[in-house]
Formats: sequence, C-alpha cells, structure tokens
Amino acid sequence: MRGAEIADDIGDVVILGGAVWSLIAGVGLLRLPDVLSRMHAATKPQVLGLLMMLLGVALRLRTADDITTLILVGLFQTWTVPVAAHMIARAARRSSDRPGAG
Amino acid sequence: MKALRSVNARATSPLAVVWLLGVWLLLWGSISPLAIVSGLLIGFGLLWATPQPAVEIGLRFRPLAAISLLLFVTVDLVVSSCRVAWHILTPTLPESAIYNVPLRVRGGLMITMVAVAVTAVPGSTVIDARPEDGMLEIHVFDASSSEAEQNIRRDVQLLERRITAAFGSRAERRRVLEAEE
Repeated sequence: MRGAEIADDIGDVVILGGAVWSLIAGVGLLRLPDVLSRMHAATKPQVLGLLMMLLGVALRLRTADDITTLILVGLFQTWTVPVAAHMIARAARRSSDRPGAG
Repeated sequence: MKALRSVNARATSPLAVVWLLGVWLLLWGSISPLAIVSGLLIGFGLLWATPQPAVEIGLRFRPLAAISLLLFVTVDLVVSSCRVAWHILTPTLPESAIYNVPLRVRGGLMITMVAVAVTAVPGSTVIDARPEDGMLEIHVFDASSSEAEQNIRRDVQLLERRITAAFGSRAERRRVLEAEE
C-alpha cells in the first residue's frame, strides 16, 4: 500500500496549495481597487486554486466515478469563469466612462 | 429578435446530443445500457425543450497541437496567477490600461476560444469581443511598461496561431498565416 500512501500525501499537499491560491484570490477581491482589476483575481488564482483542489481530491479518492465528475467540474469551471468575468467586466465598463473605474 | 430567429434556425444537432451524452456518462461515471439510453433521452429532450442558436462549427481537431495548446495555456495560468498574487500581496498596485486588439480569426467559436485563452494569459482579461469589426477589448493589469500594448498584441497573435493550429478550419488557418506574412 505504499503507492496509496504516497498518493494520499501528494493529494494533501495539492489540496493545501489549492486552498492557498483560493485564499489569495479572495484577498485580491477585497484589496484590488476596481472591478476590472478584481476580475484578474477572480479568474486566475481562483481557477488555479480550484483545479489544484480537484486534482488533490482526485488523488485522494482514486475511483473512476468521482474522477469523471471532478473532470466535469474542472472543464465547466475553466470554460465558464472567463465568460462570467467578461460579462461582469463589460457591464462595469459600460456603466462608467472612466477606464478602469469601479 | 435574435432569439426568435435562432429558434427557427436550429434543428437538433447530432453532435450536441453526443456531447450531452458524454457529459451525462461522465456524471454517472460508468457506461451502462441504462445510462446511455437515459442520456440520449435527456439529451434530445433538453435540445428539444431549449433550442440553441446555431453555431457554425467548422472545427478540425489536431491532437498534438491541441496538447501543446493545453500545456501552453496551463503554464500561462500558473505564471499569471503568480503575477496577480504578487500584486495582491505587495502594497504597490500597477497601472492598468485597456487596449483594442485586432483579431484575425472570424468564426464565433474561434473568437470564443481565443477570448477564453486570453484570460489565462498573464495580466489580461477580455472586456468585450466585437466580432463585427474583429476586435477584442482587453484589460491589461500591469501596463506600466511602454511595450504593454505591443506585448498584448503579440500574445493574442500567438494564441490565435496555436488555437487555429489545434482546432481551426483550413480557411481560419490560412487567414492567420497570411496575416503574418
């Protein structure tokens, strides 16, 4: 069972890493000054954090059912997050004339 | 207006049913006759109940180029996350700017792919896509260097080349390559 233990340990580390990225994204949403800048925090570290979280969970669960579901979550997240950010950014842009204004 | 027209334009596409069936099977995590039959029924049912606008597909799939695109975008995502994290965690904030970047691809699906990938590129998110004049409006997080506009143009062109190499139809590829000569 050494392989299983190693996978568990790597999974733990990856989950922790994903949590750190998500935390950074959260701090970014609070700290950055305007909507358009916040979209950077909401798209990049957030997606990376989530993908690492999914990878870590997959390493811990290691069953086909769960992994296929995790793949779906990852796929839809990476595909929809930029679109959602784009919609918000566009709305913010159209509601103000000043570039970069929140 | 648009919605009304698209309802009429669309017959249920077999590809869409196959895609929905694939999602259904991934959700179940197993391939059984029951899962396949129920997936097909639900796929047809959904497409019948919620007609989607017709998308001209026009895709090719080149596996090697697709893998290299995936790796490229993943590296971009990690690099850009690090940069954004740096700006979040240090007290100074960079100066942002908005640029209009011309696109060479024309298909709706191609523009979508480029726009999604641009969001992973370090320091840029898409604000608006204007297919009518082939422009992407891009917000660059750190535009303090004088080459910021050139850099984002170059990044978009590189992505266009990689994406058309992986998925583009022949016409799209030709358009991108010709524009570079």
